[in-house]
Amino acid sequence: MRQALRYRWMQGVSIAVLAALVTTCAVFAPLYDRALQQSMVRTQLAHAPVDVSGIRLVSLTPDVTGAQPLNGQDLAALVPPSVQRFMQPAVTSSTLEVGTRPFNVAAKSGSLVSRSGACRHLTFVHGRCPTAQFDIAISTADQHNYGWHVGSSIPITELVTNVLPSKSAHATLHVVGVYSAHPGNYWFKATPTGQSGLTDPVTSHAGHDWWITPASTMLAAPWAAPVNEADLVMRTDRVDLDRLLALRAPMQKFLASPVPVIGNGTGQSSAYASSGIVDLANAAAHGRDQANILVPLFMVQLALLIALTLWLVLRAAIDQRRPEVALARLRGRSSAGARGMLLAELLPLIVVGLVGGVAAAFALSCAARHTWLVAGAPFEVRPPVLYTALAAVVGLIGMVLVAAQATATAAPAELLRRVVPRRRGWAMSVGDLLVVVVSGAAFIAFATGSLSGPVGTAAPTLLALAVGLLLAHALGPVTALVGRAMMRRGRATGGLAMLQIARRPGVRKIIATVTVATALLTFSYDALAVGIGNRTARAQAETGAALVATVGGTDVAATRAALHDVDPSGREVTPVVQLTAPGEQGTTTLAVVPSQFARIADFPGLDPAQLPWTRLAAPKTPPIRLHGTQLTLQLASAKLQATGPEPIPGAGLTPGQLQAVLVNSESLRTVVTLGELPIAGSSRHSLSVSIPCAKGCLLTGFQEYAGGIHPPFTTSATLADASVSGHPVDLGSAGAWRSITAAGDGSMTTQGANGSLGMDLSQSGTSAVAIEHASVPARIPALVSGPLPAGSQGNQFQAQGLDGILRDVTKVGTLAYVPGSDPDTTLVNLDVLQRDGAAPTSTALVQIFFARNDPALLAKVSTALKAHGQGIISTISAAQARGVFDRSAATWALQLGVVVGATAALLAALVLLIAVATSWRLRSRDYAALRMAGLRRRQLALISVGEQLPVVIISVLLGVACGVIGAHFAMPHVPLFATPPAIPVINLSISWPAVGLAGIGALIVVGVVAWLSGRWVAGRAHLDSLRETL
Amino acid sequence: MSGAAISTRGLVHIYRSEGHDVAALSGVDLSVRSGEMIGLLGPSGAGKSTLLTLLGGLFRPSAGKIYIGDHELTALTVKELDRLRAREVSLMLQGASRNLLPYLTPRQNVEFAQRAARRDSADLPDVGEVLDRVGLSEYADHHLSGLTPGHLQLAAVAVAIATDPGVVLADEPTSQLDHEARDTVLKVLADISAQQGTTVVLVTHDPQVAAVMPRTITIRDGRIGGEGRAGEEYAVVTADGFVHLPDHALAALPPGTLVRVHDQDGIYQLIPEHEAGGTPGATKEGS
Repeated sequence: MRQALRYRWMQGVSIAVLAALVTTCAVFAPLYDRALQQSMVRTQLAHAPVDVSGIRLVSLTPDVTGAQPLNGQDLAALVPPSVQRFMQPAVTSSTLEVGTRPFNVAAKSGSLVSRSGACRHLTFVHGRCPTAQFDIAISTADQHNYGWHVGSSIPITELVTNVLPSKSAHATLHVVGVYSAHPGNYWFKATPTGQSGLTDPVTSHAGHDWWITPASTMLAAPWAAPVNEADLVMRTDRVDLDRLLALRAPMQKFLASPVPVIGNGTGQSSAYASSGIVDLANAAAHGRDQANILVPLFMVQLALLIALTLWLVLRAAIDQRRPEVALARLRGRSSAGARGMLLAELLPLIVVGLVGGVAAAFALSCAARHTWLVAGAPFEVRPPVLYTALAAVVGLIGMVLVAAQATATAAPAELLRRVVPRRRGWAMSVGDLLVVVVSGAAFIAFATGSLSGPVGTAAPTLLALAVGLLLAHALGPVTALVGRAMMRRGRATGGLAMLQIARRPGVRKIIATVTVATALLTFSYDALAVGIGNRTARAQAETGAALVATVGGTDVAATRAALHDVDPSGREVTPVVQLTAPGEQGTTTLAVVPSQFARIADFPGLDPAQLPWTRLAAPKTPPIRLHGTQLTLQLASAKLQATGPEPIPGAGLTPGQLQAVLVNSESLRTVVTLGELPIAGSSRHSLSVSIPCAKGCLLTGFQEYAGGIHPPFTTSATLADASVSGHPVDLGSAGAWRSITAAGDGSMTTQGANGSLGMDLSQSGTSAVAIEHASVPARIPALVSGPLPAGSQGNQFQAQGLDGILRDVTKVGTLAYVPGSDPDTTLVNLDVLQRDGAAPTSTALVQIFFARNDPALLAKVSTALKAHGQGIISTISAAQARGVFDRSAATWALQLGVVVGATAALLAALVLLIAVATSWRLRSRDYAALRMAGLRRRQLALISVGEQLPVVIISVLLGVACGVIGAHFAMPHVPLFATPPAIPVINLSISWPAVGLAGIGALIVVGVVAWLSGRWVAGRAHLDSLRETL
Repeated sequence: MSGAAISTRGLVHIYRSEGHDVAALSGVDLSVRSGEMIGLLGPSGAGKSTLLTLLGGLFRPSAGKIYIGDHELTALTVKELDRLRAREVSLMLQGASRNLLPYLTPRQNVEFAQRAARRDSADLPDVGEVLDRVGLSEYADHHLSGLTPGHLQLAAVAVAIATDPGVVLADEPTSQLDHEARDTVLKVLADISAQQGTTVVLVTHDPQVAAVMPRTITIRDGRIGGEGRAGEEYAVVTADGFVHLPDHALAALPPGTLVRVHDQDGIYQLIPEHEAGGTPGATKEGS
């Protein structure tokens, strides 16, 4: 047997390698699948915010019973023990909101925090850790911004909603240390620093960083609203996929069940818990399910391709041994003996392949874990590995037994025939016909939608198998016809090559394999490229730009000013304000500067230049600009005339106030009272009022405010000769103003001529009646993605304004999606939205979109923001977002396409080599005979190459076509993401560059092998090979 | 093992291929004594190789019976046929290489040939002795690719006699050999027949080989057409009365000629119809 192996060592190596590859696929799939899932969990946990992977329990006093909240230890004890073992010891904290006394406009406000073990996570630049009651440590920023230092005493008052600061508990704190904080999970995503120096746009108070104090401070005074917390950080090193999934049930139960309300003697306190562990577990389960489908599908297809190749090789090898089996039978060996002779030679090769394949799978798994996957994913040999290894053993041995059966049981006389009998013409074997029918039917089922699901990824292989087998059977008769025709025309070289193809089964056997291999290669690379493209597109679309920074606070004006300082042209950075609708029904409003947004935001799949940005422009009526500090004008007014009874006795008319509505340079609305509208007699007088418009204002409206409860009335007023700081102001025509008073509350109409503006007022309610200038849009134009919200009429609907109050909006265009926003978004012009001077709501999210992910640019913007009292609290880049997608189970599974594709291409080449290895003796004798008949060496080389090259070229082209067609049907079933994108950015179009690369690569690999091996065979056509050879 | 007699009765074999029936043998009656060495002669396609493979038990005849020693081949099961080939009947295929495993040495090839018989615990000759009989001891462990064609044929003979069979059926054992090698192979086969009592049936085209055979059987058109003994050629009357005319008689009596068989005191004459009453054109004498 050793001699036999040595004699056909190339064939032996081929069989062993193919068996090893089949085994590798079988064993690697579950190993990789598991490692992938573990990596996915590690990545999830590593990238999950600490408050998502951990548990936060909060207790506060929701009522006014005076009850104290549960302390941190009591809170931590609520967590089920089965969960606690995977959590670090709870960090307990108690927080008070405090302000400095006296609590006036100059007061500083912020948090006083007692947090267990805090000093271990701080570096004290000055002083020490506070240990005594009322001792505090302040941040270096506080020291710098407010001048506090070690030894300072700071009188404070507790800030409690609905309680005057003067009535709240108060104390004097002593600064004993100045710290800088170490970032880390200890803080449970909170930021001890970063608030110092920032101004709250609502309260206008400057903020301070956390003041760290010992627990005794929290016990020293009757604080009204302490918030106690227990933060449990997950021990991610102890949690793998199984444990995370095991945590799901108890966490679901824990979070769903009401936390017990516990009496503590003075009242009742309650607590609530928050955690994202259940979501993480669900995501892990989803990823696991995706991987469980994708990985086996890829590997099974590859394994089947290799198994098909191995089958062909085994059949060829056994055919080659027919004379030897014949000899054995001739010398009395029985069928069983002949089978044993075959198995004795082939089974050791299979066993070597099995052992090598298992070793290769382990090695490959290790390599994958250290390269593709997250380092540190455990190496686990679980039952599926044993099952698949066993399946490989059974499958491979079974394959050898089946392949050997026909030869082993053939009659000796049959074995003695020099040429293996085969079907002629178009006939197919039952087995091949069955494979063609089954694979063709399965593909048609996928194509017509009768079958669906991720298993559809097998479509390219099925199609290629059916087409390849059909071609393999058709090629013989076709090439015979062509060859004979060429011979008749005297084209001997080409004709002989064609006839050789027709008469030789070996070359035709490679067709199916090369077709399937190329289809698999094409599909794998297309899937890979489509996956990369979609991950990039989704990352760009969901992030919004190359880099997006979120600004702390809601001061849009300060942010815009800072950005203007850095980039006056708006080519590198642009402000974006996001207003998320409360509840699930409304749309998100995204306010942008259209020209800048179009340049800077990422619009994968869209051409921003083609979008209708101009429709978002402000009204054509120019705004009335005021620039100065003193507004003078003439006010002539008639007396107020009651038009109805007093609503309550004694509630008579009082003089009304005529007010001007201004929007200052920071786009904030200011109301300035111009003068009184008398209740007795008409008046006409000159007014001069101070206005806060040194940096410029827009005059956007007038309103009359009567105040209190009064009967309905009418009156009129005329404004004329308006000027600001000596510069005349044109109030515009009457048509440039419109009433904005709600129906039922009255009306305010305008008439005017000769530079004056007359107003007729009718007030029937308690609200002010008002007019608004036409430069403020009555309906805000918007580009909309997704459906319009409920209640919309035609293109008109309502969306949130900056202040969170609904505005009338008109849809002027549609977008497929809005970068960086929700699927249902109303995109408006920030300048237009700011025309009415509404102050941003506290829930407004102010962001900065960067044209490029440039740390230097980010630093410049940060500095500029700081100069305007603003700061960046977080950043996200498209690359980071892409990185998250890259580390998903779906991506890792798709990456297998690289291995599968490359292996398929090499396999195609290997099949060709094996075909040559098993037929070269016969072929070279044929060529030697042709040489004796007078053909030249060059012609022989052409015949030999021509016998192979056209076949592989046709096979590759067919394989590419099958790959493309298969991908068209299969890609919709391939999960590209762990969760489907909300924004419609998925593009499953064929990646022609990838297809081209795959096709050219396959052509080069198998083409070169076909060319070289063809020439090599022709080169061995020596005349002495015509004599009887061994 | 001593030689085994061979006998066939009414042997008919028809090949069926793609809708055509071809009668390769049409009633062959043959008797070969134990230890005898005969040559099977005849033109290509006459049925020599078919007869040989039927004797070797590779095919079952379409009709007729074959006896090898005490065995009636047509009645044997597949296993019994295997056993017969393992021990008693050895077939040498045309072309030395077809009888040898190319990756084994002559010694290993002989061992390979003995393997099936050894399983039946048969008393087998020593491999060295077998190689010695054919004069190949010197090359026992040489690689086959290093042997001359003559040596290769001797190796094939060694494989054929590896189990000391009763019958050796050799198909063209001297083809493609030079005279010296041919003579050596023939001598070895003759020695085996003489010394071991092995029955040897040898198919050949070579008249010089036929000339040294003690007995030759000529097959023509699937029938036994003649027999030569000690250089004398005889026509053979078959069981159905058929006599194949020698070539010179056939030239005088072309196919289609009507003849009258005339018995004249034990001498049989064939008188063509057109010469009836005249001088016979050809006669066939028999007893």
